[in-house]
Amino acid sequence: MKRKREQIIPYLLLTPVHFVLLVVVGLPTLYILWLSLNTSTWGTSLQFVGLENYRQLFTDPYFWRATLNTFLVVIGVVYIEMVLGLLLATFFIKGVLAKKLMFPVILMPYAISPVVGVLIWKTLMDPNIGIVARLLSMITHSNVNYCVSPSQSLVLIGFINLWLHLPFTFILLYSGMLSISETIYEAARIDGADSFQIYFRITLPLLTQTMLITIIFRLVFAFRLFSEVWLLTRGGPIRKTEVMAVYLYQHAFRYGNFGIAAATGWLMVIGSLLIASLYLYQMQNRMSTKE
Amino acid sequence: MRTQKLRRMLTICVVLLLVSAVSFAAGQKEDSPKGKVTLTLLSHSVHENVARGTVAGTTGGDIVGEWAERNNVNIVWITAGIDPVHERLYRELALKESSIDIAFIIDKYVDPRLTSQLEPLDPYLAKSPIEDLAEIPENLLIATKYKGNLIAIPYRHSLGGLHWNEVLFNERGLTRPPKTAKEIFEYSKQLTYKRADGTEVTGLVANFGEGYASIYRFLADYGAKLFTVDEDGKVTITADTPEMIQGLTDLATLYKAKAVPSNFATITIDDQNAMITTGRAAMAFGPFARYTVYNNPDVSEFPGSIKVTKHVDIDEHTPSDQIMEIWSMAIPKNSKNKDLAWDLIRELSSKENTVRAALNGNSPVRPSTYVDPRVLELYPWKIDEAEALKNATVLPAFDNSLEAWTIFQEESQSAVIGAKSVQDAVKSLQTRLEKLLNK
Repeated sequence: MKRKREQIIPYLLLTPVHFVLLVVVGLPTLYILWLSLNTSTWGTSLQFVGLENYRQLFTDPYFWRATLNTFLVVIGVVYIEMVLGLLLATFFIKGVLAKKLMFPVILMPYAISPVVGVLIWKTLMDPNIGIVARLLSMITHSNVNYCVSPSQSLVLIGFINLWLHLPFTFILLYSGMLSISETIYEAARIDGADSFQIYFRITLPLLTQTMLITIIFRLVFAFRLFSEVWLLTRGGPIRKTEVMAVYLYQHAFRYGNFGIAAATGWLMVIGSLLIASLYLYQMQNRMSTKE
Repeated sequence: MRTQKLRRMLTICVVLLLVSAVSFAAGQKEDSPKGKVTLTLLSHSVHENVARGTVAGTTGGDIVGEWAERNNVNIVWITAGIDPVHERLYRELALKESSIDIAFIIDKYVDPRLTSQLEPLDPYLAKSPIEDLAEIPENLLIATKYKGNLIAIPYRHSLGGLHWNEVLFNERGLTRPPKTAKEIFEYSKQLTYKRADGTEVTGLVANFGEGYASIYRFLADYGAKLFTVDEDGKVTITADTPEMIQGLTDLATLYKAKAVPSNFATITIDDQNAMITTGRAAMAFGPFARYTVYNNPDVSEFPGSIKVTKHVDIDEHTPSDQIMEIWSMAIPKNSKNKDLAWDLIRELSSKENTVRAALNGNSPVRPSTYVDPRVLELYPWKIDEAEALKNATVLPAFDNSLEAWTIFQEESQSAVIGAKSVQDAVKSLQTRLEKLLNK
């Protein structure tokens, strides 16, 4: 009897967490799925339309442009961030000058509110008074004006996202490198391995799990990309820098078109899961083969 | 031993939960003083500021506070930005019973989706009338009716004016603001120059990147209209006109000449304010009420030199539409305190309280307020505002009008920054809007 009670207690303790998850995540998710199969707006009841909202999305060129922009920025940012994060973590492990000073410097962007960060960059890149924009114009002998050039806008959006989140990637990879036992490195050195071999044959393979976790986190975070775009361009000029979250926002809170917004939300979830799982699967395979 | 510890932990958790619940309930009770009815208002923060005199230096006093004291009412005032206010209102209207008793709504949101859920006010008006309601001009009542019924009472307008920096004008040999569309085009080019101290001046600035309003404002000076709405509510798209083409052509020319900001597609109201107050722009579009900010010595490098006047006319003989936005007070159909809400609306709309709100910085909807000596002493430019108000018009809202404006913004931006020819952009605008209306 006592044993049975002891077996039940852990489940009882876990019940509130599961209940909260069900209420704040599970039920709203299912409701959004249901909403995506209906048309509705403010003050009207739901009208079931099946997959019509999805059909409308798939035939809307603005949705495809937003999707393409999202993928371009997300993939670009996450991969560049991984490379930079790895380089930074390696420098710190190897020993960098004034480490105690450099550490907070590297982490600083993560401590800044994203809104403030974007507004700072917006000022720096202002084509009229922005010191960075003017400097770049001088160096490149061309007109650096993200306000009218969609490609420049997307690059700037990606750069700000990378700047804001690089500390997160760095800290995960750095702690992953710190957790690799020194004895493994000692053994490698005794066996005659050089620094290059140690890095590519020991550090990177043993860091695979940390890298996978970092990638999945960053992919999911990056997929929700919104504030950088909204504060910098609001999806302009001429709607050419819209990303999926901005597209969703416009339909939900500007046009009151909840069915389309809910369908976009679901496609974002599916997209981020798909892209994350694809990359994780491929990467894990590659790393396993190398090992 | 382990089980005992777990049991103790669980007991502590349950006790803490109960204590928190009881304290929360007690706190909730204390918030509603005995015998007092709570009346909840939902608005932009500017309405609370002008109705309660919360901004330092204003002299109109706390109109709502005094009314609440007399009527033993507890006021809860929820404020937010324009979009969040209406989003919250829509959500409240979808409920069986709303906690919102008075909502301040802006004309561009006044479409059948919203107005059908607001309380018709004619019966209230018949029972206890508002003092001299007939004084409020017809053009300010446009966005307050639904199927012939009055559903809101105007409280504040935001009428656009043309702000111009007298110092910069003098430097370029100009002594007066432009008066016609042709003149504003020429002045914008002439006022784009480098000052002796090296400051680069842009002729004309507006928040062109923040929506459709400023671009449309410029085009309206040329007589362009995007659509017309007849008495039956039938919308006709009138985008593809010579006036629209001329206006966009001139705006594109100004963009190329850097006579409007090079961050045209993203410029915000904050950028605009910074440019005009630091002398980086010679003219700016903006509500008359912004005169105070532009001439405040704490934030402006040109206090007293940035004048405001009404927008230019199409030509010497044809006045242009003076476009404004109207904020009105409405009662949700599902409010619990409709009579009390109406009483506060009446109080806020009285002649004397309109003057008091104006002294607190409001843009009043009663013409008589503009000649009140107390108001004129504080705000002498109100004479120009009153003049512009005579030709003021509200842009009509209809189903999908917000989407229509997004299309307008996209196509007009394309024309101005050179992504499309003006003719192509205007044709595309006409076709897309017609398609949207037929959806």
